[in-house]
Formats: sequence, C-alpha cells, structure tokens
Amino acid sequence: MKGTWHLLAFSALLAVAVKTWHLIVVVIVFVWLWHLMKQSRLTPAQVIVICTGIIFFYWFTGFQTPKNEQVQANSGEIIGLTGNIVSEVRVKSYGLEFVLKGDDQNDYLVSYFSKGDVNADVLNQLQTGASCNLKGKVEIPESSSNPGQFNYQNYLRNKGIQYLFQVQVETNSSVNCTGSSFLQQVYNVRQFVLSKANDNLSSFTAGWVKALVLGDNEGIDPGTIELFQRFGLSHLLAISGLHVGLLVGGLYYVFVKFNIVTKEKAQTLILLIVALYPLIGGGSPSVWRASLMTMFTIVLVKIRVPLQVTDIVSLTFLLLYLIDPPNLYQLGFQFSFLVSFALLLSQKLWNNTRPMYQILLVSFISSLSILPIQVYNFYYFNPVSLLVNLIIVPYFSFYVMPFMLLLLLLSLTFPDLVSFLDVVFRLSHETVLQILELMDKFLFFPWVIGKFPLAFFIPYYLLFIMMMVSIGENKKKKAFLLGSCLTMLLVTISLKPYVSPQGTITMLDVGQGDSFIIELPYRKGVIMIDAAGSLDGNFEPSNKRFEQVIKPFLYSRGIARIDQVILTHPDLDHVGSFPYLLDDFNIEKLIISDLYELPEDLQNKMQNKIEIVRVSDKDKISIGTSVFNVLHPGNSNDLFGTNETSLVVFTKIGGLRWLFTGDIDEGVESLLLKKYPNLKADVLKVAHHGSKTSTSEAWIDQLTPKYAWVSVGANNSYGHPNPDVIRRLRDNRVVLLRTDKLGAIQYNFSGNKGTLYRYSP
Amino acid sequence: MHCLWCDKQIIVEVTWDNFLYPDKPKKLCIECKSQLTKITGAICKLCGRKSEDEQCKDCERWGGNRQWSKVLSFNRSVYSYNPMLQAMIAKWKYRGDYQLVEAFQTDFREAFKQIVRACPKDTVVVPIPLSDKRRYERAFNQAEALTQLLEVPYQCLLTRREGEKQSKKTRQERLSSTNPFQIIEVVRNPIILIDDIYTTGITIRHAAKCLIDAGCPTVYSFTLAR
Repeated sequence: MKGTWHLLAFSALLAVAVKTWHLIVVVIVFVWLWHLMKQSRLTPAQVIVICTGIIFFYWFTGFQTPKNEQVQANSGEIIGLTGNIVSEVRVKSYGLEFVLKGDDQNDYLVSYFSKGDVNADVLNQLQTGASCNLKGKVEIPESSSNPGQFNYQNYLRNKGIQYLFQVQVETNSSVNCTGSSFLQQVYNVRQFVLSKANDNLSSFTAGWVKALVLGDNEGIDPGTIELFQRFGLSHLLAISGLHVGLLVGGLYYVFVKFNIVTKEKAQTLILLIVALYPLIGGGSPSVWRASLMTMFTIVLVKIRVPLQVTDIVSLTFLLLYLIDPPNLYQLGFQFSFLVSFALLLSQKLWNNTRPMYQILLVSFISSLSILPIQVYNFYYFNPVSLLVNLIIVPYFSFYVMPFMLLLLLLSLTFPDLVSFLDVVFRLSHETVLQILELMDKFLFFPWVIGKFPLAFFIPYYLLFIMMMVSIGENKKKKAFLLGSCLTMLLVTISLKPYVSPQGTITMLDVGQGDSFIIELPYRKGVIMIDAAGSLDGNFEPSNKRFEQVIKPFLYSRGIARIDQVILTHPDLDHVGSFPYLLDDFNIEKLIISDLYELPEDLQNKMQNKIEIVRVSDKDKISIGTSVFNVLHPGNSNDLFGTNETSLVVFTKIGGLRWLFTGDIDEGVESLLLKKYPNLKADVLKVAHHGSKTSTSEAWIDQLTPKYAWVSVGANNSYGHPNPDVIRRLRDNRVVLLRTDKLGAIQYNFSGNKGTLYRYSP
Repeated sequence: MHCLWCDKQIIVEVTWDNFLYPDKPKKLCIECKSQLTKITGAICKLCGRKSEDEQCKDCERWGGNRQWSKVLSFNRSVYSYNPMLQAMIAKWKYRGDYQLVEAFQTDFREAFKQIVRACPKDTVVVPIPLSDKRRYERAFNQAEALTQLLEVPYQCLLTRREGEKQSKKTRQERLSSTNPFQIIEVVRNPIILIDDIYTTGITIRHAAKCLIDAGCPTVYSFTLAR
C-alpha cells in the first residue's frame, strides 16, 4: 500500500458520500479501479484492499449511530444524572464545563454556572475520570429554525453530544463525584501552564500564548476572532502542524545541542511529549492530526519503514475517523486534513522557487482547497484574504509563534525575565492587529456567493485538480484557463438566482419581532420588510439577531444588495437590526411612512448612502413587475403611538394577495375596512404578533384570508399570540403559521403557483 | 519496487497528477534516473545529437561523402551516451542483465511516439540484427530487445555477417569496413531502424544503404543512445 494509503482514506470518504448521495458513485469508482489495475498502475492486491475498504467503511457508517435512550428533556424539572466525566473540566468565563458520559450511554455537555470562583470543594470533586452523581436540568441543544442559521444541535452532535445538562448550583448537594483518572494528571499540567501564563504575562499576551500554544481561545478578544474569520486567518488560531513542528524542532534542538540527552533518547522523549500535547493543547482536530502525524513519522523513521507523508496523513485520517467518526463532520477536521493533503501534493511545485513565490502558492492552494466547504458553511469568499494570508502567515510562523513558545517557556522557568519581552510583543502585535482592523474597514469586500450546492463540489474539485496538474507541468496557459473556469463556476453559483424563475417570500424566525424577505423571480428585486433587533443581557440593543439569523439567511441566499427596505414603524422588534444591515449590505432605498421619526444618528449614518423614500396611503412602490400598495398611514396627525402609524402594505405576488400589517391595532383595522371596503387577502400577516388588540372578527370576515402568518417568540412574556386571536382565526378556517412552532416560513413560487415550507421539523 | 540499477527501494512522490491516477511502477529510482540525460532542446537535424548548429560537424563529414549522403534521412536518440548510460548498457548487453532494458521502456516508448509522427504512416520498424555468433554469445539481440519495448509490430529484414566488433575499431577502420548486412526480404515501405547506440553512424548507414539499394524509399533510425 506504500504510496497509495490515501486511496484507502478516499474510500472511507466515498462510503460516506454514497450514504448521502447515490450508489452510482461506487460504480464509477469500481470502473476506475479496474482501469487502473488493467494498466498495472495498481496491483490486484491494492485493488482488493481498496474495495474491501469501501465495503468496510460502508458498513462502518451504518454502525456508528447507536440508538441511544431518549431522555425526557426541556421539562425544567431537576433530575439526577449519573455517569463519568470523560473530558477535561474547563474553566470558562461563566463557570465550568465538561462532558459526562451518562450511564444511559448518552453524552451530556455539563455546565456549572457560577458567579466568581467556583466552590473549592466542587472544583476538587470534578475531575476527569470521576464517576458522578449530579442534580440539575436536562435540555436539548437548540436547533436552527432559519435557513442559513448555525445549528448548535448538529454542531454538538458532531462532537458526539446529545444533551445539555445544567447543574443546579443553588444547593451544595448537587455535585457528588469520586475518583479521577490518569488524564486528570495531564490536564493538571495544562491548568498549571495556563495559570503560569495568566500570572506572569499581561492579559493581552497571555491570551495569545494560551491560544497559540495551549489551544484556549477564551483570552482573545471576540472581535479579533471574528476579524480572523473574515480574512480566512482562523487556521492560525487553531494549533496545527506549524505549531507542533516548531515545538518539536525547538525541543529537539535544545535537547541535542545542549547535550542534555542522546539523540535516541531525545527522540523517545519527544515522542512522549507529542503524544501528550493534544491533551495539553486543547484537543482540537488539527492538533490531533499534527501530533499523530509527527508520532507516525518518528516511529516510522525509527523502525526504518520509509512511508510517504501522504500515507502518514492518510493513516492519521483513518485513525481519527475510526476512533471517533463524528470527527468527519467537524469543520476544523475537514479544513486541517484538506489543506495538509493539498499542500503535500503540491510539494514538487516549490522546489527551486523563490520564497516569495512559495508563500504565494501555499496561500493560494490552502484557500482554494477549502473554498467550497467555506462557502458551503459561510456563504461568502473574501478575495483579499489571499493577500492578507500572504503577509500574516509568515508573520505568525516566524515571529509570533516562536515568540509565544519562548514567552511560555520563560514564564515557566524565569518569570522575572518576561516583562520586557511581554511589552515588546504587545506593542508589535497590537500594531499588526490595528493594521488588520484598518484593512477590515476599507478592504473587506466579501463576495457573497450563497450556499455552495453539493452537486458543484465534484466539478469544482475536478477543475481544481486539473489546474494543479497544469501548474505542476508548467503549462501556464492551461492553468490560467482552468483557473478561469473555476472562477466561472463560482460566478455561476452566485448568478443562479438571476436566471431562476423561482421567487421566495420568507418570514424569518426572529423570535419576538418581524422580518420578511421577498425575493422576486430572476432576482428582479429583493425587498425586506422590517429588521427585528434584539436585546442583550443588560437590555441594551445588540446585534445578536442580525448576526445569527438575518445576515446568515441573506448571505445563504447570495444576497449582498437589498433593493428596498420597508420599515413599518420604529420599534426595536421591527427595526433593531437596521443599523447593522446598513453596515454590511448595500441598500438602495429605505421606505418609511411620513410619520416615521428617524433618529438623528441613523440619519447621519445614511447620509448620501441610501435614498430615503417617504410614503403615505395611496402611494405605490414599484419594483420589477411587482407593485406594493401603501394602505396606511395617511399623513394626518390624529394617530397615537408608533404601532398605529405602522405602514400597511398590500401586494400580489406568486398568485397570492399579501397584506403586511406591522403592529396596527383594531382601530386602524376598522379605519382600513372603511377606506377599502373591497380589500381581500390570501395571506394575512397577523398584526402585532397576534396581540389581542388586533385581528378583529370584522377584519377577518372582510379579508377572508387562507393563511395567517404570525411572527412570534416562543414563550414570550406578552402572551402573544393571544388565545382569542388564535380562536378567531381557527373559527374562520384560517391556517395558522407561527414561527415559534414552525421556525421560518417560506413560500416558494414560480409564476402563479407556489408551495409553503416550514423550516423547523 | 526496487531500483533496477542501484537496488534501493523506490519511493514514488505523490503529486497532483498521480494521486488519483497512480504512475506505472517505476524501474529506476529518482537518483539513478536523474543521471540519465534525455536529449532535449536544440539538436542536429540529421543525427539527433545535442547541437546548437542545424548540422553537427560529424554530419557535415558524412554529408561530404558521396557514397553516404542521403542514405539515412535522420537519426533520433533518447539519451546522451554519458558514463552512466555507458555503464548501464555494458551491464545489460555484455554482462547479460537482460531485465535492465525495462529501465528504458517509458522514455524509449515516449520518444518513439514522437519520432513516428515525423515518419510516413506505412513505415516499418526493423531492428539492427546481430551475427549468429554474437547472438549466441549474448543470448539476445539488444536492438530487438529495445524494439520489443515499443510493443509495436516489427520485421527482421536483415542479416549480418560475422565481423569484428565495431566498438573495438577506430572511426577510420569503421568507415572503410565492408557492409556486413544482407537483405532477407524486400519491402517497398519506408523503414525505421532500431539500435542501441549511434556512435559514428556507420552501422546504421550500412544497414540503411543495404535497404535503399534494395528499393526502400527512405530510412530513418531511432537509438537509445547518441
């Protein structure tokens, strides 16, 4: 199998692909293998091993989802939970966190909330390997209820965790644990090193040391982490081959050059350190990959079995997959292996080239090798990230990383010496981060592509491989041509909505608030009605709803430009996300009623950027072939409160008549009934989240809606929607569609026909 | 797989072009392979040796000779006859390491495919024969062994009388020697002759002359070394 272990790794991937795609894939692969054997490129033995591999891994994919006992969850009841702590007990900003394998074989993510320091007795009991008896609440992790939204439930499931468990901290008797395992000793070392870094370094420097050497990102400003994400630099924050390589190289140098031990002993010693490093370094997939690869290499050199590095990376992949199959679905795992494999295949390319060209190639190949996965998950691609990587990667490799190792080593041995170096690092690194922030401000032009379709993965990677082959053969013209095809592929994905006859109207699940997005066929227009905001723990406006729901949704649909934003009235649950929308999207027009009072700061923010259109009743807003009729408010001043001044908009789209009502009350409803005695609607946006002050009997009688769309938060404190309103609608045989029950609601249409979808199961 | 020359284990570099389409098993390790120099770039249009001039000095001398000019249309060779190749051919041809010929297969075939493009479609492949005595001594004909690497049909149209080994003679002696080849069967097709080494070119020219005299329109040649 020498030199072909990667084919076995691919067969494991193939087995997973077959599970999700189609059996035809296997047929193609078998024909391929047959051809390779005929051409004596593979020996029959190799082909047999690979075929057996495919069958084994296919069986293995079925084997890996054991049927666990269902647990009564989300009841809020305090229950007992017994099991073993199987992870490190981590100190978080809010308390402690660890994974407990319950006696029912479910994995629970346990959190112990505490203000200030955790009770010492509890801390002593909670040790890795301890068998525990805990009291607290079981919860099911939150799933996503909107297209494009991050799914926490899947995320945890991919780590093997099914439930959340919140320890009841009010009583002391809720934690009863005994024992610990060897792992705890290793984690103690980690805790010790972490505390040394905290004690001897400034918090800024300590944050970076902890992240880059110990895999603990808690000390880095969340804004910086997001900045790194936007510029495709997150790989620098994950401990990877680079870090392990520097660590091993550094230690080997110290051991051997200073004659501390013999070469052979140094190798054994390093093998041991590398074996333990994943546990000390936070245990992310990339640190496991790097450590295992290093171990394989050292062992293989010792027993004199020369293996290809591609074989070693493939063996590592197979090992990690077999030990813990959900690994495969973790982004960090996918990125780590894809990038290292792509770079290994490219090694020939940077023989005899200038270092500058080499760095360019590395940055280029790493970015392109993971681009589909990145766009599949984050919906955009930042072209400038290529250039930024070009500068920042060497900066981290040759300056930050060695510096971090040195600082940590010194703070463990000669803590008095670090303060000067600490200042040097802080000043230099802060400057670099400031430059990055400036770039972010002026050079962040994300190319919003939309969700990368699974069917495009195969052509993408085929073109990519062909391009890399051409580069290897130094056929520049052909490589350029293939590169252009690759770009065209991405352009095709982002242009798909412009040729699609399908339009969509979406009611996002924004909790207690409103947000509707109307996408006209052939992308003739994108209209947004309201942009719900959110409050943080201190009841201050926050961008949480925008970042978690609205922006991911728009990005996933490939939307970076909104033609018209209609804000019905200036309440936070309807407009709170608008300022953030303004920052991140190109908005053509803002449409508000004559009575809408724009706050001054918002007005300044919009200056010269977008056109503000004031409308009142009987106005028409046209976009593409669609017309939005404004029914309310007139410009009279006899309306009280903001709710009553809500813009009411009527439109015909996709064969249905739509009425968007904002937060109007009964009074406005009867006003409208008088003004428009022939008004009908197929879909009624139930005003004011189903409050009892709206949606009167007369209103329903007159409109005769078929569907009532209610955007409302689950278990909201207002008691929306009101049972009377629900009853009124039911009695009139109106189908009720609520975001709190069904998640986002979507109407996909083509011409005059369409289908309604709900997003939550 | 072990290297046919140095017997070290061969490690195949996995790259973009072969990770899904593995290379055929290599016969020589990278180090040994790198010591063979393929003839690329500017060559003598006639004898195919590396040369900046259109026609090398050697070929000018042939051109001046009325008897020999235009007997051979052109010769092309795969490798320069450097010390490494000298040693390999010696081991293969004189010391009977028959299998070593496989080391040349990929390059030999690849180069042949290119040469054949310049020849007419109905060209016949003919290996230079050995005399019976020499054939008995060596147990195989090196030219025929090379021809078999090509996996194309070929015909043995010539025989060779016993003479002294070319490699033991000086250039003058070679030029003045009598033509050792005789034709067995007459064909009217163009011919491409296959041999292991083109040194002075006399052997190939003798064979070519023999064929031309028998009525072949053109004769090309293709050798492993030049």
